[in-house]
Amino acid sequence: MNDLVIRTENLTKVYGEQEAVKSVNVHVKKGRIYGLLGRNGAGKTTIMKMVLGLTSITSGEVQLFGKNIRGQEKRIYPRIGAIIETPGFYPNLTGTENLEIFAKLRGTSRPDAVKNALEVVGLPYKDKKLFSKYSLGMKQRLGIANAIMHDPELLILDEPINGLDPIGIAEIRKFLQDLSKERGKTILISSHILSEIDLLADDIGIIHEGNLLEESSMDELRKKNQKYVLFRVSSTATAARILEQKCGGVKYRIEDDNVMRIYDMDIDLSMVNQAFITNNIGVYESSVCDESLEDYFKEITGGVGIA
Amino acid sequence: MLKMLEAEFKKIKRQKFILLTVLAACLFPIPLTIVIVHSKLNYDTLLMFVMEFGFFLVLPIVLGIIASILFRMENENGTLKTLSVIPVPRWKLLGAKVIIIYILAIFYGVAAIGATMIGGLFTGTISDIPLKLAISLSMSVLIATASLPMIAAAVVFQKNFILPILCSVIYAVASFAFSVMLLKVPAPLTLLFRCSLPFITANPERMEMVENVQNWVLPVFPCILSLIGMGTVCMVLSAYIYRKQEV
Repeated sequence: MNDLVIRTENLTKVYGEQEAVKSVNVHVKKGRIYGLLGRNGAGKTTIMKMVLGLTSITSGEVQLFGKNIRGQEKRIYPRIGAIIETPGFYPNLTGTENLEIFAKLRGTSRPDAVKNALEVVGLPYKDKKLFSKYSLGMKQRLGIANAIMHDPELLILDEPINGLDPIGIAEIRKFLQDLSKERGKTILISSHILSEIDLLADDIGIIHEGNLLEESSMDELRKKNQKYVLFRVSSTATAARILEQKCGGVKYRIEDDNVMRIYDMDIDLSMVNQAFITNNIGVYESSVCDESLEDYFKEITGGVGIA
Repeated sequence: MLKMLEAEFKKIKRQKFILLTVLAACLFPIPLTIVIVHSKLNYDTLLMFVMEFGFFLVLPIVLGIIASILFRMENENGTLKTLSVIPVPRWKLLGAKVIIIYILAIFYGVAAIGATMIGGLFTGTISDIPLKLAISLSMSVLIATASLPMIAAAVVFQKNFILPILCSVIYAVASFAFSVMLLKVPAPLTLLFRCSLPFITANPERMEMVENVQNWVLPVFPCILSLIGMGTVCMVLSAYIYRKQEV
Protein backbone atom coordinates (compact mmCIF):
# COMPACT_ATOMS: atom_id res chain seq x y z
CA MET A 1 0.00 0.00 0.00
CA ASN A 2 2.86 2.38 0.84
CA ASP A 3 4.32 2.18 -2.62
CA LEU A 4 1.22 3.77 -4.13
CA VAL A 5 1.84 7.31 -5.30
CA ILE A 6 -1.72 7.84 -6.54
CA ARG A 7 -4.69 6.06 -5.10
CA THR A 8 -8.27 7.00 -5.82
CA GLU A 9 -11.19 5.55 -3.97
CA ASN A 10 -14.61 5.50 -5.63
CA LEU A 11 -13.71 8.69 -7.45
CA THR A 12 -16.83 10.10 -9.06
CA LYS A 13 -17.55 13.21 -11.07
CA VAL A 14 -20.99 14.33 -12.13
CA TYR A 15 -21.55 17.22 -14.54
CA GLY A 16 -25.22 18.11 -14.32
CA GLU A 17 -27.06 14.94 -15.29
CA GLN A 18 -24.02 13.22 -16.74
CA GLU A 19 -21.76 10.97 -14.70
CA ALA A 20 -18.36 11.53 -16.31
CA VAL A 21 -16.37 9.36 -13.90
CA LYS A 22 -17.99 6.48 -12.04
CA SER A 23 -16.47 5.17 -8.80
CA VAL A 24 -12.99 4.83 -10.22
CA ASN A 25 -10.22 3.19 -8.18
CA VAL A 26 -6.84 3.92 -9.72
CA HIS A 27 -3.61 2.63 -8.18
CA VAL A 28 -0.36 4.11 -9.47
CA LYS A 29 2.76 2.51 -8.03
CA LYS A 30 5.99 4.33 -7.25
CA GLY A 31 8.54 4.39 -10.05
CA ARG A 32 6.13 2.94 -12.63
CA ILE A 33 4.55 4.36 -15.76
CA TYR A 34 0.80 4.01 -15.57
CA GLY A 35 -1.06 4.39 -18.85
CA LEU A 36 -4.65 5.49 -18.68
CA LEU A 37 -6.15 4.30 -21.91
CA GLY A 38 -9.54 5.26 -23.24
CA ARG A 39 -11.40 6.79 -26.12
CA ASN A 40 -11.88 10.56 -26.35
CA GLY A 41 -14.42 11.59 -23.71
CA ALA A 42 -13.94 8.41 -21.67
CA GLY A 43 -13.09 10.40 -18.52
CA LYS A 44 -9.26 10.32 -18.53
CA THR A 45 -8.79 14.08 -18.34
CA THR A 46 -11.51 14.44 -15.70
CA ILE A 47 -9.74 11.89 -13.48
CA MET A 48 -6.45 13.76 -13.90
CA LYS A 49 -8.14 17.09 -13.20
CA MET A 50 -9.64 15.72 -10.00
CA VAL A 51 -6.27 14.31 -8.94
CA LEU A 52 -4.73 17.74 -9.50
CA GLY A 53 -7.55 19.63 -7.81
CA LEU A 54 -8.49 21.43 -11.03
CA THR A 55 -12.06 20.28 -10.79
CA SER A 56 -14.13 19.43 -7.75
CA ILE A 57 -14.70 15.83 -6.73
CA THR A 58 -18.38 14.86 -6.59
CA SER A 59 -17.66 11.89 -4.32
CA GLY A 60 -14.80 9.61 -3.38
CA GLU A 61 -11.26 10.61 -2.54
CA VAL A 62 -7.79 11.02 -3.96
CA GLN A 63 -4.64 10.10 -2.08
CA LEU A 64 -1.28 11.32 -3.34
CA PHE A 65 1.92 10.04 -1.74
CA GLY A 66 -0.26 8.31 0.85
CA LYS A 67 -2.10 11.46 1.91
CA ASN A 68 -5.57 12.73 1.18
CA ILE A 69 -5.16 15.83 -0.99
CA ARG A 70 -7.82 17.88 0.79
CA GLY A 71 -6.02 20.63 2.72
CA GLN A 72 -2.59 19.26 1.71
CA GLU A 73 -2.43 20.88 -1.73
CA LYS A 74 0.36 23.29 -0.82
CA ARG A 75 2.59 20.42 0.32
CA ILE A 76 1.66 17.83 -2.27
CA TYR A 77 1.32 19.68 -5.57
CA PRO A 78 4.88 21.08 -5.70
CA ARG A 79 5.97 17.42 -5.94
CA ILE A 80 4.03 17.03 -9.19
CA GLY A 81 4.64 18.13 -12.75
CA ALA A 82 1.65 18.10 -15.06
CA ILE A 83 0.24 18.82 -18.47
CA ILE A 84 -3.54 18.80 -18.73
CA GLU A 85 -5.13 19.05 -22.17
CA THR A 86 -3.18 21.63 -24.18
CA PRO A 87 -0.17 23.20 -22.45
CA GLY A 88 -1.09 26.64 -21.07
CA PHE A 89 1.39 29.43 -21.75
CA TYR A 90 1.34 33.17 -22.46
CA PRO A 91 1.31 33.72 -26.25
CA ASN A 92 2.95 37.15 -26.01
CA LEU A 93 6.08 35.70 -24.38
CA THR A 94 8.87 33.44 -25.63
CA GLY A 95 9.25 29.88 -24.39
CA THR A 96 12.10 30.88 -22.09
CA GLU A 97 10.15 33.84 -20.68
CA ASN A 98 7.18 31.58 -20.03
CA LEU A 99 9.28 29.01 -18.20
CA GLU A 100 11.04 31.73 -16.21
CA ILE A 101 7.66 32.92 -14.90
CA PHE A 102 6.61 29.44 -13.79
CA ALA A 103 10.07 28.70 -12.35
CA LYS A 104 9.86 31.87 -10.27
CA LEU A 105 6.35 31.09 -9.04
CA ARG A 106 7.42 27.55 -8.14
CA GLY A 107 10.46 28.87 -6.35
CA THR A 108 12.70 26.58 -8.40
CA SER A 109 16.07 26.80 -6.71
CA ARG A 110 18.38 25.69 -9.54
CA PRO A 111 19.39 28.73 -11.61
CA ASP A 112 19.84 26.64 -14.75
CA ALA A 113 16.50 24.81 -14.38
CA VAL A 114 14.89 26.57 -17.35
CA LYS A 115 17.89 26.01 -19.61
CA ASN A 116 18.16 22.34 -18.64
CA ALA A 117 14.45 21.69 -19.13
CA LEU A 118 14.52 23.28 -22.57
CA GLU A 119 17.60 21.26 -23.53
CA VAL A 120 15.91 18.03 -22.46
CA VAL A 121 12.94 18.61 -24.76
CA GLY A 122 15.10 19.98 -27.58
CA LEU A 123 13.93 23.60 -27.54
CA PRO A 124 16.35 26.53 -27.79
CA TYR A 125 17.12 28.63 -24.71
CA LYS A 126 16.62 32.41 -24.97
CA ASP A 127 15.05 32.03 -28.39
CA LYS A 128 13.16 35.10 -29.64
CA LYS A 129 10.24 33.14 -31.06
CA LEU A 130 6.98 33.91 -29.27
CA PHE A 131 4.84 31.05 -27.93
CA SER A 132 2.02 32.15 -30.26
CA LYS A 133 4.28 31.25 -33.21
CA TYR A 134 5.10 27.77 -31.88
CA SER A 135 3.93 24.66 -33.71
CA LEU A 136 1.74 22.19 -31.82
CA GLY A 137 4.74 19.92 -31.31
CA MET A 138 6.84 22.77 -29.89
CA LYS A 139 3.99 23.75 -27.55
CA GLN A 140 3.80 20.18 -26.33
CA ARG A 141 7.56 20.06 -25.77
CA LEU A 142 7.42 23.31 -23.82
CA GLY A 143 4.61 21.82 -21.73
CA ILE A 144 6.79 18.83 -20.92
CA ALA A 145 9.72 21.14 -20.11
CA ASN A 146 7.50 23.04 -17.68
CA ALA A 147 6.30 19.81 -16.10
CA ILE A 148 9.82 18.46 -15.46
CA MET A 149 11.59 21.75 -14.71
CA HIS A 150 11.35 21.44 -10.92
CA ASP A 151 12.37 17.77 -10.90
CA PRO A 152 9.04 16.44 -9.61
CA GLU A 153 8.54 12.97 -8.16
CA LEU A 154 5.31 12.46 -10.04
CA LEU A 155 4.44 13.42 -13.60
CA ILE A 156 0.82 13.59 -14.72
CA LEU A 157 0.71 13.92 -18.48
CA ASP A 158 -2.56 14.17 -20.36
CA GLU A 159 -2.02 13.13 -23.99
CA PRO A 160 1.56 14.50 -24.02
CA ILE A 161 2.43 13.22 -27.49
CA ASN A 162 -0.44 15.00 -29.24
CA GLY A 163 0.95 16.95 -32.16
CA LEU A 164 4.43 15.48 -31.99
CA ASP A 165 6.05 14.05 -35.11
CA PRO A 166 7.12 10.37 -35.05
CA ILE A 167 10.72 11.22 -34.13
CA GLY A 168 9.49 13.57 -31.42
CA ILE A 169 7.20 10.84 -30.07
CA ALA A 170 10.10 8.38 -29.92
CA GLU A 171 12.32 10.96 -28.19
CA ILE A 172 9.70 11.80 -25.57
CA ARG A 173 8.94 8.10 -25.05
CA LYS A 174 12.63 7.37 -24.46
CA PHE A 175 12.89 10.38 -22.16
CA LEU A 176 9.88 9.29 -20.07
CA GLN A 177 11.19 5.73 -19.88
CA ASP A 178 14.58 7.00 -18.68
CA LEU A 179 12.89 9.23 -16.12
CA SER A 180 11.02 6.26 -14.75
CA LYS A 181 13.72 3.58 -14.97
CA GLU A 182 16.83 5.59 -14.13
CA ARG A 183 15.48 8.26 -11.85
CA GLY A 184 12.58 6.43 -10.27
CA LYS A 185 9.93 8.96 -11.28
CA THR A 186 6.32 7.91 -11.26
CA ILE A 187 4.36 8.79 -14.37
CA LEU A 188 0.64 8.80 -14.99
CA ILE A 189 0.06 9.23 -18.69
CA SER A 190 -3.19 9.25 -20.59
CA SER A 191 -3.63 8.50 -24.23
CA HIS A 192 -6.10 7.25 -26.75
CA ILE A 193 -3.23 5.85 -28.81
CA LEU A 194 -3.03 2.16 -27.98
CA SER A 195 0.38 1.54 -29.48
CA GLU A 196 1.89 4.32 -27.42
CA ILE A 197 0.56 2.96 -24.14
CA ASP A 198 1.66 -0.50 -25.23
CA LEU A 199 5.23 0.72 -25.79
CA LEU A 200 5.48 2.99 -22.78
CA ALA A 201 3.40 1.82 -19.85
CA ASP A 202 4.30 -0.65 -17.11
CA ASP A 203 0.74 -0.67 -15.82
CA ILE A 204 -2.48 0.07 -17.56
CA GLY A 205 -5.95 1.27 -16.69
CA ILE A 206 -8.61 0.96 -19.36
CA ILE A 207 -11.36 3.49 -18.98
CA HIS A 208 -14.59 3.50 -20.92
CA GLU A 209 -17.58 5.80 -20.44
CA GLY A 210 -16.33 6.81 -17.00
CA ASN A 211 -15.76 3.25 -15.76
CA LEU A 212 -12.34 1.78 -15.10
CA LEU A 213 -12.87 -1.57 -16.79
CA GLU A 214 -9.44 -3.05 -16.23
CA GLU A 215 -6.36 -2.27 -14.20
CA SER A 216 -3.31 -4.49 -14.40
CA SER A 217 0.34 -4.58 -15.28
CA MET A 218 1.17 -4.75 -18.96
CA ASP A 219 2.95 -8.06 -18.34
CA GLU A 220 -0.20 -9.59 -16.86
CA LEU A 221 -2.24 -8.22 -19.70
CA ARG A 222 0.11 -9.68 -22.29
CA LYS A 223 -0.15 -13.07 -20.57
CA LYS A 224 -3.91 -12.75 -20.57
CA ASN A 225 -4.06 -11.91 -24.25
CA GLN A 226 -5.05 -15.02 -26.07
CA LYS A 227 -3.76 -16.61 -29.20
CA TYR A 228 -6.35 -17.17 -31.89
CA VAL A 229 -6.73 -18.46 -35.44
CA LEU A 230 -7.85 -15.85 -37.89
CA PHE A 231 -9.97 -17.06 -40.78
CA ARG A 232 -10.69 -14.92 -43.82
CA VAL A 233 -13.60 -16.65 -45.56
CA SER A 234 -16.26 -15.94 -48.18
CA SER A 235 -19.09 -15.94 -45.61
CA THR A 236 -18.64 -15.86 -41.87
CA ALA A 237 -22.34 -16.58 -41.28
CA THR A 238 -22.15 -19.90 -43.11
CA ALA A 239 -18.75 -20.63 -41.60
CA ALA A 240 -20.14 -20.08 -38.10
CA ARG A 241 -23.02 -22.48 -38.81
CA ILE A 242 -20.60 -25.15 -40.03
CA LEU A 243 -18.37 -24.55 -37.00
CA GLU A 244 -21.33 -25.03 -34.65
CA GLN A 245 -22.30 -28.25 -36.43
CA LYS A 246 -18.83 -29.80 -36.68
CA CYS A 247 -17.16 -28.54 -33.50
CA GLY A 248 -19.96 -27.54 -31.11
CA GLY A 249 -18.84 -25.44 -28.15
CA VAL A 250 -15.83 -23.93 -29.89
CA LYS A 251 -15.08 -20.35 -28.85
CA TYR A 252 -15.12 -17.99 -31.80
CA ARG A 253 -15.92 -14.39 -32.72
CA ILE A 254 -17.15 -12.91 -35.97
CA GLU A 255 -15.38 -9.68 -36.91
CA ASP A 256 -17.30 -8.90 -40.10
CA ASP A 257 -18.80 -10.67 -43.13
CA ASN A 258 -15.44 -12.18 -44.05
CA VAL A 259 -13.28 -12.34 -40.94
CA MET A 260 -13.71 -14.54 -37.90
CA ARG A 261 -11.49 -15.63 -35.02
CA ILE A 262 -11.34 -19.02 -33.36
CA TYR A 263 -9.95 -18.87 -29.84
CA ASP A 264 -9.86 -22.62 -29.21
CA MET A 265 -6.23 -23.45 -30.06
CA ASP A 266 -6.72 -27.22 -29.54
CA ILE A 267 -9.04 -27.42 -32.49
CA ASP A 268 -7.96 -29.49 -35.51
CA LEU A 269 -7.40 -26.73 -38.07
CA SER A 270 -7.13 -29.09 -41.04
CA MET A 271 -10.55 -30.48 -40.12
CA VAL A 272 -12.02 -26.93 -39.92
CA ASN A 273 -10.46 -26.02 -43.25
CA GLN A 274 -11.79 -29.15 -44.87
CA ALA A 275 -15.28 -28.58 -43.41
CA PHE A 276 -15.37 -25.03 -44.76
CA ILE A 277 -14.19 -26.08 -48.23
CA THR A 278 -16.56 -29.03 -48.54
CA ASN A 279 -19.42 -26.67 -47.70
CA ASN A 280 -18.40 -24.30 -50.49
CA ILE A 281 -16.94 -21.65 -48.23
CA GLY A 282 -13.94 -19.95 -49.79
CA VAL A 283 -11.00 -19.89 -47.34
CA TYR A 284 -8.63 -17.07 -48.30
CA GLU A 285 -6.48 -16.96 -45.17
CA SER A 286 -5.97 -18.86 -41.95
CA SER A 287 -3.24 -17.84 -39.56
CA VAL A 288 -2.33 -18.06 -35.89
CA CYS A 289 -2.27 -14.60 -34.26
CA ASP A 290 -1.67 -13.03 -30.85
CA GLU A 291 -4.40 -10.80 -29.54
CA SER A 292 -3.14 -7.21 -29.48
CA LEU A 293 -3.93 -4.53 -26.92
CA GLU A 294 -6.36 -3.11 -29.44
CA ASP A 295 -8.13 -6.47 -29.67
CA TYR A 296 -8.29 -6.64 -25.91
CA PHE A 297 -9.56 -3.09 -25.73
CA LYS A 298 -12.30 -3.88 -28.24
CA GLU A 299 -13.18 -7.02 -26.36
CA ILE A 300 -13.64 -5.43 -22.97
CA THR A 301 -15.27 -2.22 -24.16
CA GLY A 302 -17.52 -4.09 -26.55
CA GLY A 303 -16.66 -1.46 -29.10
CA VAL A 304 -15.20 -1.19 -32.53
CA GLY A 305 -11.83 0.20 -31.57
CA ILE A 306 -10.30 3.26 -30.02
CA ALA A 307 -9.27 5.83 -32.58
CA MET B 1 3.59 38.22 -3.21
CA LEU B 2 6.62 40.04 -4.63
CA LYS B 3 7.27 37.05 -6.89
CA MET B 4 3.65 37.16 -8.01
CA LEU B 5 3.93 40.86 -8.82
CA GLU B 6 7.12 40.36 -10.76
CA ALA B 7 5.46 37.54 -12.71
CA GLU B 8 2.41 39.73 -13.41
CA PHE B 9 4.62 42.46 -14.83
CA LYS B 10 6.39 39.90 -17.04
CA LYS B 11 3.04 38.60 -18.28
CA ILE B 12 1.99 42.01 -19.61
CA LYS B 13 5.15 42.33 -21.70
CA ARG B 14 4.21 43.01 -25.35
CA GLN B 15 0.53 43.49 -24.42
CA LYS B 16 -0.35 46.04 -27.10
CA PHE B 17 -3.21 47.81 -25.32
CA ILE B 18 -1.23 48.31 -22.11
CA LEU B 19 1.83 49.48 -24.06
CA LEU B 20 -0.36 51.89 -25.97
CA THR B 21 -1.91 53.41 -22.84
CA VAL B 22 1.50 53.72 -21.15
CA LEU B 23 2.83 55.42 -24.27
CA ALA B 24 -0.24 57.69 -24.43
CA ALA B 25 0.27 58.69 -20.80
CA CYS B 26 3.93 59.50 -21.49
CA LEU B 27 3.16 61.52 -24.62
CA PHE B 28 0.35 63.43 -22.94
CA PRO B 29 2.56 66.48 -22.17
CA ILE B 30 2.98 67.42 -25.81
CA PRO B 31 -0.63 68.21 -26.86
CA LEU B 32 -1.51 69.61 -23.44
CA THR B 33 1.45 71.98 -23.50
CA ILE B 34 0.38 73.16 -26.94
CA VAL B 35 -3.22 73.71 -25.73
CA ILE B 36 -2.07 75.65 -22.68
CA VAL B 37 0.40 77.86 -24.55
CA HIS B 38 -1.91 78.62 -27.48
CA SER B 39 -5.19 79.11 -25.64
CA LYS B 40 -3.56 80.97 -22.73
CA LEU B 41 -5.66 78.84 -20.40
CA ASN B 42 -5.59 79.13 -16.68
CA TYR B 43 -3.64 76.14 -15.33
CA ASP B 44 -6.28 75.31 -12.72
CA THR B 45 -8.98 75.16 -15.41
CA LEU B 46 -6.92 72.72 -17.40
CA LEU B 47 -6.22 70.68 -14.28
CA MET B 48 -9.95 70.51 -13.55
CA PHE B 49 -10.62 69.42 -17.13
CA VAL B 50 -7.99 66.65 -16.89
CA MET B 51 -9.26 65.52 -13.48
CA GLU B 52 -12.92 65.41 -14.48
CA PHE B 53 -12.63 63.79 -17.87
CA GLY B 54 -9.31 62.01 -17.55
CA PHE B 55 -9.72 60.62 -14.04
CA PHE B 56 -13.48 60.09 -13.81
CA LEU B 57 -14.23 58.98 -17.36
CA VAL B 58 -11.17 57.75 -19.26
CA LEU B 59 -9.16 56.20 -16.42
CA PRO B 60 -11.92 53.83 -15.15
CA ILE B 61 -12.57 52.61 -18.70
CA VAL B 62 -8.84 52.01 -19.28
CA LEU B 63 -8.57 50.19 -15.94
CA GLY B 64 -11.64 48.09 -16.79
CA ILE B 65 -10.13 47.06 -20.12
CA ILE B 66 -6.80 46.21 -18.46
CA ALA B 67 -8.60 44.15 -15.79
CA SER B 68 -10.42 42.29 -18.55
CA ILE B 69 -7.11 41.60 -20.35
CA LEU B 70 -5.38 40.43 -17.17
CA PHE B 71 -8.07 37.96 -16.16
CA ARG B 72 -8.98 36.73 -19.59
CA MET B 73 -5.36 36.00 -20.53
CA GLU B 74 -5.22 33.27 -17.86
CA ASN B 75 -8.42 31.66 -19.01
CA GLU B 76 -7.96 31.99 -22.74
CA ASN B 77 -4.43 30.59 -22.77
CA GLY B 78 -5.06 27.82 -20.24
CA THR B 79 -2.43 29.26 -17.91
CA LEU B 80 -4.86 29.21 -14.98
CA LYS B 81 -4.53 25.40 -15.09
CA THR B 82 -0.74 25.61 -15.11
CA LEU B 83 -0.79 28.10 -12.23
CA SER B 84 -3.29 26.04 -10.23
CA VAL B 85 -1.07 22.96 -10.46
CA ILE B 86 2.00 24.82 -9.07
CA PRO B 87 -0.12 25.64 -6.91
CA VAL B 88 -0.68 29.42 -6.96
CA PRO B 89 -3.61 30.34 -4.69
CA ARG B 90 -6.30 32.20 -6.59
CA TRP B 91 -6.52 34.96 -3.99
CA LYS B 92 -2.82 35.67 -4.49
CA LEU B 93 -3.27 35.77 -8.24
CA LEU B 94 -6.23 38.11 -7.84
CA GLY B 95 -4.27 40.27 -5.38
CA ALA B 96 -1.29 40.56 -7.74
CA LYS B 97 -3.53 41.59 -10.62
CA VAL B 98 -5.33 44.18 -8.50
CA ILE B 99 -1.98 45.63 -7.35
CA ILE B 100 -0.87 45.87 -11.00
CA ILE B 101 -4.09 47.78 -11.75
CA TYR B 102 -3.38 50.16 -8.84
CA ILE B 103 0.22 50.69 -10.00
CA LEU B 104 -0.93 51.45 -13.55
CA ALA B 105 -3.65 53.78 -12.20
CA ILE B 106 -1.05 55.71 -10.23
CA PHE B 107 1.24 55.84 -13.26
CA TYR B 108 -1.53 57.13 -15.55
CA GLY B 109 -2.75 59.63 -12.94
CA VAL B 110 0.64 61.09 -12.13
CA ALA B 111 1.59 61.13 -15.83
CA ALA B 112 -1.58 63.04 -16.70
CA ILE B 113 -1.08 65.64 -13.98
CA GLY B 114 2.65 65.80 -14.76
CA ALA B 115 1.68 66.53 -18.34
CA THR B 116 -0.49 69.48 -17.38
CA MET B 117 2.26 70.73 -15.10
CA ILE B 118 4.74 70.86 -17.97
CA GLY B 119 2.19 72.99 -19.85
CA GLY B 120 1.68 75.10 -16.74
CA LEU B 121 5.43 75.74 -16.44
CA PHE B 122 5.40 77.23 -19.94
CA THR B 123 2.58 79.64 -19.09
CA GLY B 124 3.95 80.36 -15.64
CA THR B 125 0.52 79.95 -14.01
CA ILE B 126 1.37 76.84 -12.02
CA SER B 127 1.47 76.81 -8.24
CA ASP B 128 1.35 74.29 -5.36
CA ILE B 129 3.09 71.53 -7.32
CA PRO B 130 3.58 69.12 -4.37
CA LEU B 131 -0.07 69.51 -3.30
CA LYS B 132 -1.32 68.89 -6.82
CA LEU B 133 0.88 65.84 -7.19
CA ALA B 134 -0.38 64.54 -3.84
CA ILE B 135 -3.99 65.10 -4.98
CA SER B 136 -3.35 63.29 -8.28
CA LEU B 137 -1.71 60.39 -6.46
CA SER B 138 -4.60 60.08 -3.97
CA MET B 139 -7.17 60.45 -6.74
CA SER B 140 -5.50 57.69 -8.78
CA VAL B 141 -5.65 55.31 -5.80
CA LEU B 142 -9.26 56.24 -5.08
CA ILE B 143 -10.31 55.93 -8.72
CA ALA B 144 -8.74 52.44 -8.79
CA THR B 145 -10.66 51.60 -5.59
CA ALA B 146 -13.90 52.89 -7.12
CA SER B 147 -13.13 50.74 -10.17
CA LEU B 148 -13.04 47.50 -8.14
CA PRO B 149 -16.62 46.58 -9.21
CA MET B 150 -15.22 46.41 -12.77
CA ILE B 151 -12.55 44.00 -11.57
CA ALA B 152 -15.31 41.86 -10.07
CA ALA B 153 -17.01 41.94 -13.49
CA ALA B 154 -13.73 40.92 -15.15
CA VAL B 155 -13.47 37.96 -12.75
CA VAL B 156 -17.09 36.87 -13.24
CA PHE B 157 -16.98 37.19 -17.02
CA GLN B 158 -13.34 36.14 -17.48
CA LYS B 159 -14.24 33.78 -20.31
CA ASN B 160 -15.68 36.72 -22.22
CA PHE B 161 -13.70 39.71 -23.44
CA ILE B 162 -16.39 42.12 -24.61
CA LEU B 163 -18.84 41.75 -21.71
CA PRO B 164 -16.54 43.00 -18.90
CA ILE B 165 -15.35 45.86 -21.14
CA LEU B 166 -18.95 46.76 -21.88
CA CYS B 167 -19.71 46.67 -18.14
CA SER B 168 -16.73 48.99 -17.53
CA VAL B 169 -17.81 51.48 -20.18
CA ILE B 170 -21.41 51.51 -18.92
CA TYR B 171 -20.26 51.83 -15.31
CA ALA B 172 -17.84 54.68 -16.03
CA VAL B 173 -20.14 56.61 -18.41
CA ALA B 174 -23.22 56.17 -16.18
CA SER B 175 -21.26 57.22 -13.05
CA PHE B 176 -19.91 60.23 -14.92
CA ALA B 177 -23.40 61.18 -16.11
CA PHE B 178 -24.79 60.84 -12.56
CA SER B 179 -21.99 63.14 -11.39
CA VAL B 180 -22.46 65.91 -13.96
CA MET B 181 -26.25 65.76 -13.40
CA LEU B 182 -25.61 66.07 -9.64
CA LEU B 183 -27.62 62.89 -8.96
CA LYS B 184 -27.30 61.20 -5.60
CA VAL B 185 -26.77 57.69 -6.94
CA PRO B 186 -24.54 55.62 -4.59
CA ALA B 187 -22.17 54.47 -7.35
CA PRO B 188 -18.55 54.42 -6.07
CA LEU B 189 -17.25 56.71 -8.83
CA THR B 190 -20.10 59.19 -8.25
CA LEU B 191 -19.47 59.15 -4.50
CA LEU B 192 -15.81 59.90 -5.16
CA PHE B 193 -16.73 62.72 -7.51
CA ARG B 194 -19.01 64.22 -4.86
CA CYS B 195 -16.32 64.31 -2.21
CA SER B 196 -13.46 65.36 -4.47
CA LEU B 197 -15.20 68.22 -6.28
CA PRO B 198 -13.95 70.91 -3.84
CA PHE B 199 -10.36 69.76 -4.50
CA ILE B 200 -10.50 69.62 -8.25
CA THR B 201 -12.69 72.59 -9.14
CA ALA B 202 -11.01 75.64 -10.65
CA ASN B 203 -13.63 77.96 -9.08
CA PRO B 204 -14.15 76.98 -5.42
CA GLU B 205 -15.71 80.38 -4.65
CA ARG B 206 -18.36 79.93 -7.34
CA MET B 207 -19.10 76.41 -6.17
CA GLU B 208 -19.82 77.66 -2.64
CA MET B 209 -22.37 80.07 -4.04
CA VAL B 210 -24.47 77.42 -5.76
CA GLU B 211 -26.73 75.82 -3.20
CA ASN B 212 -27.56 72.56 -5.00
CA VAL B 213 -23.86 71.88 -5.58
CA GLN B 214 -23.20 72.58 -1.92
CA ASN B 215 -25.89 70.09 -0.94
CA TRP B 216 -24.60 67.52 -3.39
CA VAL B 217 -20.97 67.55 -2.20
CA LEU B 218 -20.11 64.95 0.44
CA PRO B 219 -17.57 65.10 3.26
CA VAL B 220 -14.30 63.33 2.42
CA PHE B 221 -13.80 60.94 5.32
CA PRO B 222 -17.18 59.09 5.31
CA CYS B 223 -17.00 58.96 1.54
CA ILE B 224 -13.59 57.31 1.54
CA LEU B 225 -14.80 54.88 4.21
CA SER B 226 -17.77 53.96 2.01
CA LEU B 227 -15.41 53.44 -0.94
CA ILE B 228 -13.13 51.19 1.10
CA GLY B 229 -16.19 49.23 2.29
CA MET B 230 -17.51 48.77 -1.23
CA GLY B 231 -14.03 47.89 -2.49
CA THR B 232 -13.60 45.27 0.24
CA VAL B 233 -16.94 43.67 -0.61
CA CYS B 234 -15.94 43.59 -4.30
CA MET B 235 -12.58 42.01 -3.50
CA VAL B 236 -14.03 39.36 -1.17
CA LEU B 237 -16.70 38.53 -3.74
CA SER B 238 -14.12 38.40 -6.55
CA ALA B 239 -11.81 36.15 -4.50
CA TYR B 240 -14.70 33.80 -3.70
CA ILE B 241 -15.86 33.59 -7.31
CA TYR B 242 -12.30 33.24 -8.63
CA ARG B 243 -11.57 30.40 -6.19
CA LYS B 244 -14.73 28.56 -7.14
CA GLN B 245 -14.19 28.79 -10.89
CA GLU B 246 -13.10 25.48 -12.39
CA VAL B 247 -10.57 25.31 -15.19
